Amino acid sequence: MNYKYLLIGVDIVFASLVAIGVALYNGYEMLLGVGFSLLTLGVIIAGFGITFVEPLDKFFRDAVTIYSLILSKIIEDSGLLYAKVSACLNERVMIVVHSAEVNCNAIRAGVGVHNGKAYIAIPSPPVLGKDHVTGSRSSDTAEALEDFVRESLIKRYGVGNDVRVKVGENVEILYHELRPEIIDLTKKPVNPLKLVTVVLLSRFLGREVSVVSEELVEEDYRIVMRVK
Amino acid sequence: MENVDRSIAVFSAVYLVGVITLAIIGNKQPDVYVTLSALIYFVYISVDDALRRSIRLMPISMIVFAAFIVAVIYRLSTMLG
Repeated sequence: MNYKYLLIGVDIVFASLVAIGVALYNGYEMLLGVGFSLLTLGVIIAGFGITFVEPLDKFFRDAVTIYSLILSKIIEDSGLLYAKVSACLNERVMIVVHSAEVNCNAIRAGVGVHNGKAYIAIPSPPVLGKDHVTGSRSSDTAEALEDFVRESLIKRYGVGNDVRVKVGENVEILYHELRPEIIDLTKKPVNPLKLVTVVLLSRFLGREVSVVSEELVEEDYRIVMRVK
Repeated sequence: MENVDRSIAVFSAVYLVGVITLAIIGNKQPDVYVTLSALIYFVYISVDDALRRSIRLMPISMIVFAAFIVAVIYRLSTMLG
């Protein structure tokens, strides 16, 4: 329910009823038509007010913030606040937060210790659907990767305005003009865009990937990843 | 919320342009006004994602469709006698 729209709609309905009354009384056929149109508009806008529900975007943003806070606390308590983020490929893609180099074969889901250093490994859900990955692994060129990221995150979810990919010793992905909501999320200790990008690249290439660096400059976000 | 505000403002503007255009060309048939209103409504909601995400349009669409049917029946009745 949104009372603003409801009130505007009811006002238009009253105005249209006056117009219809005047038109019927004086025989103004044109005013009668305009009155009916305004009546329809008033009913539609009042209906908008009655059936309005807050968009789910806000709910999911709040949910991500809560999850981020929970994960941040776990990461902080595990001494992994400034740790690296990697994607391991075991039976499925696994996001690993670790402070020392890890052997992906030795990683198990959950909180664990490898070579005396703590890590957190979380199996990644199929964030982009299976269809996006099928058939893409054969091509690992920058252009194909750029098209894949653009299709997955820019066109589908509207994360930002565009994306550029450079493939050299490392893979660098630059998101242009991120949406304000995403910019807020990238400032959290657990950055969802970073996690999704790592998983995306790992699934695209079918290889293990770790984040080398990241930076947010105004509305642009650059993430550099090393492919193992 | 801001997106929905903008969508409703654009919808109202498009709607009023249609109605005013009909009035300027001197149309005096009320059913034509209602029919055009319904047409603008259905075209607009089909292209505006923000409205569809934030508003349950089915009950409103049923009311507008009912108004459209009434206008068509009115037109047929005047044509047939």
